[in-house]
Amino acid sequence: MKLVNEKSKAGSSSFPIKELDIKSNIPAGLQRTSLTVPTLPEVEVVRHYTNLSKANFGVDNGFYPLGSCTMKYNPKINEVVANRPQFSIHPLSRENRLPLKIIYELEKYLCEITGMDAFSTQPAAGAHGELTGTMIMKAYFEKRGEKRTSVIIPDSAHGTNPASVSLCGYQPVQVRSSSAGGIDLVDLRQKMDKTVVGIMITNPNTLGIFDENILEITQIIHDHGGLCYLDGANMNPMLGIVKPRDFGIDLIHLNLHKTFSTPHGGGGPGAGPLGVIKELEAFLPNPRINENLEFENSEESIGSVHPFCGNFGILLRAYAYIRAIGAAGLRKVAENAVLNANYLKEKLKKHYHLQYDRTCQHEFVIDDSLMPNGVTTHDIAKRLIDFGFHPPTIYFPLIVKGAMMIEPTETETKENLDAFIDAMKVIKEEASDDPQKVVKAPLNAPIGRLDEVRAAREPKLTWCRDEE
Amino acid sequence: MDYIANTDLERESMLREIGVKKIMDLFHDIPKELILSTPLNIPGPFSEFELLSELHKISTQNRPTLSFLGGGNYNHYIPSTVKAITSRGEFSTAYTPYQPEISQGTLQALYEYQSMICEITGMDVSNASMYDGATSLAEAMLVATKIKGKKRVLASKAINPLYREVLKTYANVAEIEIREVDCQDGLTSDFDTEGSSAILIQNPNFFGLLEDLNTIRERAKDLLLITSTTEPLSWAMLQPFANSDVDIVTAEGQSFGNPISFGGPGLGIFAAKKVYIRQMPGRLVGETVDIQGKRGFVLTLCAREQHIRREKATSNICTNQGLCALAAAVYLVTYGENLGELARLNNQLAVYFSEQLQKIEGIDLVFNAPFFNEFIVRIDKGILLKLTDVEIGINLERYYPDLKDCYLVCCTEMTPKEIIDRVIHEIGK
Ligand SMILES: Cc1ncc(COP(=O)(O)O)c(C=O)c1O
Repeated sequence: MKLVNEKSKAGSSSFPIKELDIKSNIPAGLQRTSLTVPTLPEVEVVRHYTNLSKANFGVDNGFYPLGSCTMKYNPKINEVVANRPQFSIHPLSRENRLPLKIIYELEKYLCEITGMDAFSTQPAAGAHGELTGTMIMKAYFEKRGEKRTSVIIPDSAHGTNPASVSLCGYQPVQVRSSSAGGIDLVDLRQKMDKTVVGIMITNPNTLGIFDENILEITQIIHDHGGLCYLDGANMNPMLGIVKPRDFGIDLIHLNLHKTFSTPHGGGGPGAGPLGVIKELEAFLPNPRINENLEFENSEESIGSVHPFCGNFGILLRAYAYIRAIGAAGLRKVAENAVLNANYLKEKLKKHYHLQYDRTCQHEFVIDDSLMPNGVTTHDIAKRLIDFGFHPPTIYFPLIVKGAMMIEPTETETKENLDAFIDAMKVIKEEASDDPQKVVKAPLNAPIGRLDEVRAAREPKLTWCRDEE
Repeated sequence: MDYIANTDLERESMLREIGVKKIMDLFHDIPKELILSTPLNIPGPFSEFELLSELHKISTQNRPTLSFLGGGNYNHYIPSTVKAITSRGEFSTAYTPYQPEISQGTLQALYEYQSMICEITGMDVSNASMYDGATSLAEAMLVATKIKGKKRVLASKAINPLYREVLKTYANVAEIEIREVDCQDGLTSDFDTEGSSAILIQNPNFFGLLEDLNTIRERAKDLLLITSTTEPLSWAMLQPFANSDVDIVTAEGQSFGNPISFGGPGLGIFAAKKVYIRQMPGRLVGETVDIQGKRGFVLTLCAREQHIRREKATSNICTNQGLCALAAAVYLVTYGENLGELARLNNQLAVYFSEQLQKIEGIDLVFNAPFFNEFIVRIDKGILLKLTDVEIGINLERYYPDLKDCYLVCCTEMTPKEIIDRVIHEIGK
């Protein structure tokens, strides 16, 4: 499809501006002499983006089992709430009680759900929460006068975990997974000592396994004076079932854009609020909101990681979601997410290799090791597109070769799960009978398989005027 | 209310297929003593109607006021096209376009966004968004110290004080020293470049004033010049940054089609010279072809990113502000080349308001340098008392103790001449 820059037609904007007869105070030398912005009449603007949207696939289009991303249905009422004009308010306005009240209440809900003592909504996404949490751990040990230099991170962890701790000058130390898919306790004991800040752990982990040794793991860390950070991206299967605080977690971030149903926006925005135990509360980012609904600063705070309260528009959606479904609804979310995942897993393991064959929580990981004719996970993913599904997360976690990480979420119907299972079965058959079909896929997507190597070899990141 | 799609009957048949009796059997890996025995203390469930009427009830507590608040968050009109497009589920309910064959909508729109940012700023490359203006500037600071190898940067005191807080937080853990550069008459004054990797300048600066970037560039010969902008509408009127040989341009893009929303979500803009491509944080969309040679778009140069490079990545960012970048793109295309006129209108309104205010006894313009759509006035306390329904500006004393009784006043097309005249009339009463 043509680029908007290629369609641009000077003088065609439907948005004329009436300037005033007032002379600018800006000297001519500082003003630009020309401005190029693609220009289209309104009808063409709308058609351009509407047609682009047709080449896109979201949860509203169909099943999107992208593991670790919790692509659940995003209720439309959330949007109605977030778009209310009353929330389009300046953060320094003196009429700020309503947003502050909502943020304050949301913090309380998140405390109740996780068992933590205090939350900050400032982090704009999960990785931002990890960074903020690591800053707090650093401030905590500095205050205690302890020099600790590394953070333990399991080999199954998401890439943001090591990236976040290294931004704080810490060395990530990898701890092995056991053959059962949990953390290898022997390895953990060996690596934990008083030079280690603690652990950044994901539980249930990226294999979808709830580590049955979790109490022992957090005990080992605490025995050496360390802190336990939970990457709470996978909170969905724990809602109303178990509180992370109860298994020894000291800090946790939540991904509101996963567990709490806010839309993923084609990459964002999300929100990654951070919760901590009482002992760490004073280090949370400034400003906090006190019970009188005023901004308040703490002397010991790490500072700010965002100018105000983070992505308020996203917080609103999560707030609406939590209230809409209530305590009983939250627990149902967890139960049905786990039910759907186990159902899919049991059906798919008859056709695909399942390295960790045990009960899963919100997701599970199969791989391509049983595929004939050299058909790979990449091929399977592309072929799934032809069947009308978004592919799973692929080649992650790194500890499963050719991984396909599948997370159906609680909002998917059994009919959709069955259709997905059928498609996976057919793809397996095609791989042996007609591999070309799979290797060349997708065959009926808006575009064929794209050359990613070429894009990286000769990067072309902007449209240039002389292309016309 | 809940959003669970299966019936009890279906649940039973699924449990049978799995081979367990009840759902709780699937949670057997969790130590028994941890399983909650009582429901969470959370209100609800509420129907849609109940949710909305509750909000309606508490919303009447919010008195509407006339606002001239800016300073990083701007009240601009958002054309109807923007919401119409960004609320399409195909865009809003998708995630990061890891599977380009069914994500061409997001990818092409972001590629066009990157192209527009480059055209307006004159820079070579733009990424697909950062969290916001403050973190975008902080990440630019990290990039600069990696490129130059010196763990010190200079930062003008005319950078938004809240951004400087974020900078300090990031610098603190990265062990970077930030040397703040003083201001004279509201503009960044001279500085010593010895031992620093970069100089960070906001333009228009926090006081609304236009910095002399060419002179700063000359003084900062061996340093990276990094800019921050909180009001990018000014770009449509001012010389592009590339003309002042800026190395990295960062900005808060909220002004482009995103509502104020109590400070977030906004749009972190990050653009740079080509030589820094491989040091850039965030997603980059690039052009390529499919197996038939047809043009298409993919995420590219991923070897910089956390999912490939892990602890050696240029940044830890993963989820960004994609939909806000889409909003910006639709906004820009809707105004098109008329964006220049919109910028001039904003500037004219600010000039007009500042002139009218100065005529009033007890109100003075604090700085004399040219500004875009924000300026600072000192206002006598007595006058302020008259402005019960107007938020005239951001009180600056909390950030700059010297600027007692000073307010940062912002005009946009949402504060047209009639409103300004009304306010002036009220003060004169
Ligand atoms: C397990 C896990 N941790 C961390 C993250 C990072 O979160 P975000 O993308 O919101 O920064 C993600 C998702 O992307 C994730 O799946």
